[in-house]
Formats: sequence, C-alpha cells, structure tokens
Amino acid sequence: MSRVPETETSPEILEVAALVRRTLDGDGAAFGQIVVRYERRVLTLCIRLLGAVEDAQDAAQEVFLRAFKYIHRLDVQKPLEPWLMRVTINVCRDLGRKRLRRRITFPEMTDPDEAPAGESGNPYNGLAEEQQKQLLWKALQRLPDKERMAVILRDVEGLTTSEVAVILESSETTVRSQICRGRLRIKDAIDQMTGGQP
Amino acid sequence: MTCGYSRDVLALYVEGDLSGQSTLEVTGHLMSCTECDRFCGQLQKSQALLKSLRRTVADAGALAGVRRGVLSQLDRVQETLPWTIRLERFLMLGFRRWKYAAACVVVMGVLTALTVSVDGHRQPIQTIERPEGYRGWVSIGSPGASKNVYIAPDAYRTFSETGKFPEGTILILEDAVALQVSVKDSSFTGGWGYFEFTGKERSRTADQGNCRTCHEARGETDHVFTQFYPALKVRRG
Repeated sequence: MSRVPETETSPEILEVAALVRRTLDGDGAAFGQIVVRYERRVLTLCIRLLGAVEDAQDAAQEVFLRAFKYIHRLDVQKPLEPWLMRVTINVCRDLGRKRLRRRITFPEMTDPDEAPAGESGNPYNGLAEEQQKQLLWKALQRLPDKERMAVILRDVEGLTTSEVAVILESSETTVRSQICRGRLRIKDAIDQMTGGQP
Repeated sequence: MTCGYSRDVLALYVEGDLSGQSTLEVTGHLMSCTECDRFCGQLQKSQALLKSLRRTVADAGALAGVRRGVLSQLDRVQETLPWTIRLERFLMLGFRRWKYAAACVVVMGVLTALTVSVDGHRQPIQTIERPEGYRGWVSIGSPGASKNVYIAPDAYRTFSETGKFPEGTILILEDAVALQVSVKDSSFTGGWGYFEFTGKERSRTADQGNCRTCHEARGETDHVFTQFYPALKVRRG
C-alpha cells in the first residue's frame, strides 16, 4: 500500500492520474499499464481474502474490470491504490457470499482438514506448515466479514489502522474494535481446533 | 481468565495498537500478572501464525492469467457500458470543467425556482440514492448479530444537545442482507420516510407502510427506537 498521505501530490499520483485521464479518453493501453502496476497487489490480496488461487484470479479480473467501468469516479488528486483496494474488498465480499450460497446448496460431505492437537504448552508446535495454513484459514472463515477484512488488512497486509479505515470506509475506532475482536476470535478458534486452551 | 484485565486491550497491545500511555500501563500490569503475561504470549503466537500468510503471494503465472483476462475484455466492457454509466461519466467529467459546472448550476437554479413557484407545497421525496460512506458516521449500536446502526454526525450532535432529530436526519440499519434507511423529512406522513435496499439497486422508492406502522407504534422518541440504543439514551439524559 502506498504510504503517501492522501493530500500530498507525489510523482506516482501524477503518473497514475495521467494514465486515468488517457483511459477516460479511450486509450485501453493506458489502463493496461494500470493493470500491470497493481496486478500483484490486487491478486495477492484476493488470494489472502479468498484462499483459493482460482477464485482469486476470477476476483482480480473482476476488480480491474469494475475499476475500468467506474474509473471516472476516482479522484485523481488522491492515490489510486486505496480506491483499488476498496474495490477488491467489495468484489471479494460479493464472491465470498456467492461461494457461501453455493456451499449451502451443495454442502461438503466431509471435513478433510482435521488438524492434530499440538504438543503441550504450544498448540502450534508440531503442525506442518500446510496444516497450520488450513487451521488459520478455517479460523479466518469463521470471522464475520468485517472483522476478517479488517484483520487481514491490518495484520497480514500490514496497513495502519487509519489506512484500513479509509479502505473499509469506516472510522478508526470501529476498525480498532474489529481487529481486536478478530484477533481474539482467531486465537480462540485455533486453540479449540488444536485442543489447546479454550 | 480469572484476572479481570481486558482481553481486548491485550489484543491491541500485542501489535502495538495502543497509545504510549496505555502501552506503559499494560507493560506494568504484565510484570505483575503471570496469567495476562501468558495470555499475551499465546496471542503473539497466533498473531505470528496469522502473519505467516504474508508469505502467500501471487505467482507470475497467475498474474499473467489475470492480465490476459482483463485486457481481452476491455473492449467488450467499453462497448457495453450502460447508458447510466455513460451519462454519469459525461456529467462527472463535465463538472471538472468550470464552464459546464456554472451552466449546470444556473439550469438547476432556474428549475428549482420554477418548481417552487408552481407548487408552494413541497412534495415528499419519492426516491433516494443508495447511501455511501455511512460506515464512517456515528455507530450507535448493534441491535443483533451482524447488525449495525449509524446516524449522520451532524444529526447526532443536534440530538445530543436538544433531544430532537433535526430535519434531514438519516439513520441507517445495516445487516448482512439489507440496508434500511430512515430519513427525517416533514413532507412525509409522520415526519419520516423509510427506504429499504435489499440488493445492489442504486436507488429506492419510499416504503408505503410496513416500516412506518411499527416505528409509529413502538419508536420511543419521534418514531425512533431510541429505547434500544444506549448511545441515544445517554445523550438524551
């Protein structure tokens, strides 16, 4: 995420503003440059939010197509990245809901990822990396949407609380409360799944 | 935990999300409370596991797939832009040029003057646009799981000072499936208009009865359920 304050006009903002203007004038190649510039950021966030690479690729495509469609709403005096992250969050939220409905319609028959309990003292010891990932992914999926988004943006993406608040169009107080609840729930969920302390 | 120290504060402490003074207080407490100290240690481990997701990044093949997919669809998207988006673009881009903006202001002024002179009695709002940015308003409470109620900051301030909702107050209840919007406007019967957004529609016409019946029967203050929101009750006191 760009660490440039929104009020400051950096060379990057000017470059992107020029690309946006060219896009609005019908220059598809200019938008292609925007895609190249931000594709890694967007796709990585999609993977972290959705878990599956295939779903994340679909989501990332939808993010850029939605951005292309609504690019006239962008304030070119401000950095593009927070706006793009906001679109990414919305697209992943929509996709997540669709996926949830699909799962309700076609429920999974078994739960393939029952992770073993860890050694005493540290419930995470002895778990292979892939198993840890599965545990964590399950714990994240149990969080309410808003908490999951806030925790991923703050703790995984490493953004500041104020940057998260801008992306989620929320207040810093609300975000702080969401990440605090989210962290506690993740800890509790992992403890439960590993047979650690409740 | 038997120690009454707030777990919420500890959850913020482990990632340095507290102010300097609060951090010092927690550090002092941890030196004397082994239970909280152990809890913090466990939290730090689950946080470390969470941060291991940072190693998950997009690979070059997946990136190329996304790029190809997007670039191959741009022309189609451009050609099939709905007229509403085209009109929006025209207006928004036009407003960035002062001559267009000035012309629009003049036209709107004339239309407003004509409307007022033809019909002195104001008609109720029929349709509103889907509100945006409301999550940054004042959150007054959660009446149930996954539900949040917001009020516009100016209206909240006025209500806090006078105990009355000013004209133009907007209250929003958001849950997983719908956005329910109450607008204080004296042109409505009962002084409030009620709108419900259940899908992705950008605008909505006023509800004709269901919401009003319940609000008028049970809303404690000016048809608003202030009895369920301590934030409003406290302010009133």
